[in-house]
Amino acid sequence: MVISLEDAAAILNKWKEESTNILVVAESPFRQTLRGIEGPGVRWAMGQHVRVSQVTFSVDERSSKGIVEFEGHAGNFLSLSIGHCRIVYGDPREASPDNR
Amino acid sequence: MLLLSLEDAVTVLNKWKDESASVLVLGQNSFRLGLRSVHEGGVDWNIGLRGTVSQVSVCQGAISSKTGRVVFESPGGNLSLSVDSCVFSYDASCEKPPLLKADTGSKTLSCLFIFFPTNEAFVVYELQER
Repeated sequence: MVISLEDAAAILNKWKEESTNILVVAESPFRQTLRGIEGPGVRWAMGQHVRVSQVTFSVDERSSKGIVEFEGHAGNFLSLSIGHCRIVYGDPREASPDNR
Repeated sequence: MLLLSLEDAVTVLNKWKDESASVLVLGQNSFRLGLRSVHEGGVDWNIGLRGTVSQVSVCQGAISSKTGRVVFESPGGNLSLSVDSCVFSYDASCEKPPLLKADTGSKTLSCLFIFFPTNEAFVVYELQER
């Protein structure tokens, strides 16, 4: 389901407080599903095991700002500015048995 | 700074691979203002991956031009780049980027800039551990 920036910040802050292990995967361009570097037209693809280290979030009448920072092994990191993102959340534990 | 062809960039990457050189790869969605953190504005994401070059390949396509691919691996992460449409530049002596000033455990040697036509850019720093 599509969630708001506020809800996304709440989830990310929960993962930060619980030091949850996270796998972040990304690729460019993203087209509906992850295809990997072998996919046609994919310029880059990455995966990192990380934890949420910082969530910065503010909303006012003019704009929404959100930055989430992830830290991994050996100084690996990923920082995202998510203030203008469309954010979709899913929990496989809530899926039907057929879709799990 | 020296502009490189795909073949020359592959040679540099293969050298680092063969030497199992420690490298740091920094990536961001736009290089218009140089290397910046998301907190400074002007960029939407930063990636940092510290590891080694694990695969380098270049192939001649049947119809189109050459294709190149490089894979970096790190404990807990990997990054793959398809670099055939990229512009490359190389610097034999690179300063440590401001993003990483606090890291005193290594020194940067040379670096390879990889620019995608989309403005996305990755910089590969050859590291010397102290």
